[in-house]
Formats: sequence, structure tokens, C-alpha cells
Amino acid sequence: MTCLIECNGMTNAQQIKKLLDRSLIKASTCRLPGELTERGCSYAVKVNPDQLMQALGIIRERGFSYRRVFRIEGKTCEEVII
Amino acid sequence: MGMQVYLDNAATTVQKPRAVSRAVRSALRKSGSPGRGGHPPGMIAAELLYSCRALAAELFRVDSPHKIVFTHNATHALNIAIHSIVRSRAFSESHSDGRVLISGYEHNAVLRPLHGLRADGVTTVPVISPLFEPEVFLHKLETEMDRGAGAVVCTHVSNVFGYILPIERVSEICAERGVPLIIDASQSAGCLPVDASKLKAAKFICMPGHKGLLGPQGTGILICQTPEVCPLIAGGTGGDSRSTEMPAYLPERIEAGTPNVHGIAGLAEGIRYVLMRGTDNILDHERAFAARVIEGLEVLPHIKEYRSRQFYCQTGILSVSFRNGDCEAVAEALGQKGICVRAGLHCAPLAHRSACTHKTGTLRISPSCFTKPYEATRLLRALRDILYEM
Repeated sequence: MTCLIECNGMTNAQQIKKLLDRSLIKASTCRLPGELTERGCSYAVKVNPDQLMQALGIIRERGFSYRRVFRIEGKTCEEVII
Repeated sequence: MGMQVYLDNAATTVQKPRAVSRAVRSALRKSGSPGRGGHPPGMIAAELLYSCRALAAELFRVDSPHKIVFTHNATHALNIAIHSIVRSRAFSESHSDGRVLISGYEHNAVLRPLHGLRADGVTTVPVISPLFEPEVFLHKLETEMDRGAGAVVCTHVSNVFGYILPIERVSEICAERGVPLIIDASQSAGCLPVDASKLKAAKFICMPGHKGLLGPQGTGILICQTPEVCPLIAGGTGGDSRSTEMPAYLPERIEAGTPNVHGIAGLAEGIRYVLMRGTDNILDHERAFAARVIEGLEVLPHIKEYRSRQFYCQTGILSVSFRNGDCEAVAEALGQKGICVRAGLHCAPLAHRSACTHKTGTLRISPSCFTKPYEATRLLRALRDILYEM
């Protein structure tokens, strides 16, 4: 299982990844799966579900924006409402 | 003729750190289009761009790399900045009658875009002041601002004379009156501290990558300290593809189309070098070269040097003119001796009018952080031979 934080473009995703790296949260940038994109072609930051809440807390604390959060398990995707 | 002596660094620095060309070659081999795919070449390109944004943010003390937008050059950045300000609601509601104040030392990269906006009600008001007289300039600027100003555009350093304008004070004056400021840092980026965090009124700071930042031609940076930015061109950004509008967020809002990835990879290494060496060290080096040239010019006949008696008012750029010779002819003769300088109006006719050199132009000597002291000796010897023959 993994979690995806949908971002406002590639640069925003890179900024969030670097921020999480500095906070010792393992993160990587990736493209959002096609079925999840509303606006077409989105980038996301992938994090471990155990660290999701901590990651979101850090992102909010630093004033970064993000769009939606998804939990992916196998072929199942669900939006996480926080 | 011997080795070439290149003293036209105010136009483009030719000598770059070795890492610059290495980075360009590596990016050409390995990188794809940034933000256009999740595959390794695309992600390598995205990383190269981000790394350059982060380095530029560090050098210019910008609080977030997303405020660093890549452009083709400073002219491109200035066009985006000017159009964004002039089309903003704040400008139209400013009761300024469309007045945009500019210093008397602006380049055509500022004059021409503003001139092109006359039909949109923009009036360009040059604030003419004597060379190397920053207090006079500030006084005149405040007087003009009292008459109304929708925006101010000010160069940090004159590309012709190396005159350092008091940009921090200009920013303070603009901030006190709520007037947006655009800074042209074409000649200061890489040799003077440009601290965006202290330039509160500066909505935009524009600069090329190929001069003091030691990057390749075709690179430029626009620092956006406002989210209100108007794209000059629209197109693909790699994201939000279903929308017919450009994204609302930076930097993608302004960066339509595939960027100059290999150029930006080189620029990153140029900025890294500037960070490592330090702008103070670079400025000292270039000023020391100019001082050496000035000392040697004193014994040559019929030369007028445009230099400041106040140390803080001038970079290492030096303009000279000749009582008995045409600047273009002297530059041509120097070129034949392997010495590259630039004569004429330097795309800055307003600066020449302000300094009363518009009829003759000047010959500009502009060193870089790599210029060697012995190159001053070669320049002076060549000038001596040319002037005695004239």
C-alpha cells in the first residue's frame, strides 16, 4: 500500500519531496495514475501510509499547497478525505 | 597577434567554469522534457531544472524555488514583467495616467516594450540624472513619483558605465508609496549582492543567464515576487492538460513549451561557481582590473574615462571616449589586435543621453571574474599604439 499526494505541477511536487526528505520522510515524485487525474496529467509525491499524516502536517506547516490525497492498494485507489 | 583578450563581458561572458560545458554536454545526452513523463530522461530534466531554481533562490535570497522562472534572456524576462504590471488591475486603478517611471540608464530591453504599450495608455517617463549621482537621481525620482506613478522600472547597474544605482533606496521609496518596481539586474547578477528578500517593492527581478551568472546564451531568470504574472506565450506545460488556460501556479504559468534544459543545466553550474567564489570577491576582482586600466589610461593622450570618485557607485565596467578618434574606429583597431571591446551606444541610447555621450557613443571595457591582470597591460599597449597613429 502507498499514498499519493497530488501536487500543483512538477515543481510543486519537487519542492514537497525535498521538504519531506529533509524531515526524514521517504518520498518520491511520480505521475498520478490517469484514472485519478481530473485536469489531465498531474504529478504527485508518493509516501508510505504510516508517514502520511506526519507528511501532510509538515507540508501544511510550511505553507505548501497540494490538491488531493489517495491511498493505493493493488489496483484499488481511494481518495483520503482529511 | 597572440591570444585574444576578451573584454566584452557586459554583453556575454565567453569564459565559463569548466563545469558549465560539462553540464551542458551531459544534459544533452541524458535529459528529456521536464514534466512530460515519469521516465528517467524526463525526471532527470526535471531535477536539473529544480536544482538550478534552488541555486538561484539561494544566490538571490528568494524564499522559494518556485518563484524562479526560466526565460530565454533578460529581455524576455523584462517583457513578461512589464506586461504583467501594465495589465494588472492595480496599475489601471493607480490614478497615475499610465505613467511608468524609468531611470535614465535603461536599456532598450525596457524602452522598447514600454514604447510598444503606448496604444494601451502607457506613458514612459525617464528620470534623467547625471552619471554617478545617486542622490540626485533619488530626489528626481521622488519628485516624479509625486506627480503619479503606476510602476517604476530601474536598472541596478548601467550596462554602459557600470554605474550602480541605489536600488535598495528605490525599493524603499516604491514600498512607501505602494508602487510596484521592476529591477533589471542584467549587469549586477553575479557581481553584486541582489537580495530579493530586502527588495520588498520589487515584484519582478530580471536577469540573463549568460553574463555574470556564467551560463550559456539562451538562458535567463525572472524572479517573481507576486503571483500576478501574465504569460506572454501559452502552450503545454506538462500538467493540467485538459484545461485551455495556463496554470495559475508558478513557475509553470510562465514556462510554456519545452525549456532550454541543457542551457539551464549549464546555468546551474555557473550559479554554483558564483556562490562558491562570492559576489564580493568577483566585484573586487573586476574593479581591480578597471583600476589598473584607469591608471594606465592616465598617461595616454586625449582619453576621457567615465569613472566614479565614489567607490560604491561603479562596478568593473569602464566606458571611455576619445577627443581625436571615433570609438568605433578604435574598437575596430583593437579588434585587429585581438582585443574585443564594444563601441557605440550599447543598446542604451537613453543612458548615453543622460551622460551626454549620445553623439559619440563610448568604448566599453568590461572584464569578468576570469580576466587576468596582464590583459590590462595588453589593452593599454594596444590603445597606446592606436592612439599615437591616429
